[in-house]
Amino acid sequence: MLEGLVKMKIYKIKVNGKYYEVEVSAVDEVVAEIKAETKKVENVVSQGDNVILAPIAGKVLEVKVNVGDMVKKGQTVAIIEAMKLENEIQSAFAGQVSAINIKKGDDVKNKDELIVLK
Amino acid sequence: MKLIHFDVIDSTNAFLKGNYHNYQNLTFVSADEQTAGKGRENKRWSSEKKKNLLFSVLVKDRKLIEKYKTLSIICGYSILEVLKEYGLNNLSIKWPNDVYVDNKKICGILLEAVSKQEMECLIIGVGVNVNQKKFKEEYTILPTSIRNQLNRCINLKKFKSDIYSKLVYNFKLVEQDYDFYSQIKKYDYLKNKEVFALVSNEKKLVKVLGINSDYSLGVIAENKKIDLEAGQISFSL
Repeated sequence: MLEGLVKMKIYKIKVNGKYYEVEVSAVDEVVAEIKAETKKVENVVSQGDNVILAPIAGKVLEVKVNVGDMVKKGQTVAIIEAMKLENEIQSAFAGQVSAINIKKGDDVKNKDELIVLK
Repeated sequence: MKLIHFDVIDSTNAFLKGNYHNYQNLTFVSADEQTAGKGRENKRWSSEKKKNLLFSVLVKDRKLIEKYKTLSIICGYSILEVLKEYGLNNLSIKWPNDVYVDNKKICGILLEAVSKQEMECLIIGVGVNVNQKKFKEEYTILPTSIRNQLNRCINLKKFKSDIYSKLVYNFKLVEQDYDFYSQIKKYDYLKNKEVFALVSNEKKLVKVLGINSDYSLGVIAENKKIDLEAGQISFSL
């Protein structure tokens, strides 16, 4: 609700050679605080998005795509290493990269969401 | 079991990675020469032509794929068993799967996998030094070969067949949940050694307790016992 002191002012306005009196109400500056609802938005996956998951726990050796890249089905998007096993992570879907949740050197757990395609 | 051989190829692992759809479980691919032989993290694996055994095995069986940690060390152990049958002594497994003889490296193994949400195939690349006499001096760990250890040349074709048979036999045992641990722990190269390990991106001097029954490595770091997975550490002795 706005609260303030309402002041009335009368103005003379000339329109097409004729004068008109116009009453205008002025409102003092009002400080209003708008509190936005803050919600931490993380790894938002909308319906229709495809998420590339970690098949095993391990360390990210390489990320081969950037946000915005178009990815083909079967394209290698990252390499994860565990127990001296280099795992080539291929996309099971075609789409555009909308989020990358990993970087080189990160440790990931099995089924972690690595890359999101839209 | 299917066998493929190339005179020259870039890398037997790369061949299987690109063609695994077309081949069955336990396809073996060997080559006289690899032009881009690969070690861990793209380190080159070089070998003189027709002197050594270079091959990769394709694993597509779901049960075996899920046991990749076991397969990794069993692969090294299988090579060790064959080398023992050929008369080599002082053999050991440097966790997670390299084979050493007299503190020198004789066999290296690199596992690769292709995954689409889950692992579709596992490719085990193996290099065993057989008849090569001289090695470049650039290695930090001294390499050796069967020839250098026994002072005689080995029939490479027969050796290959012995290795393939041993792997197929032992992989069958893995499939049947046979427990190799009591055998493997006898050959633990790193046991009681102090090594520098990169633990959570920090280089620390750790004391190795030994290979655990789940094939992780037990170490003491800053008075605490931790179990390491190979993906989370890198070594320097």
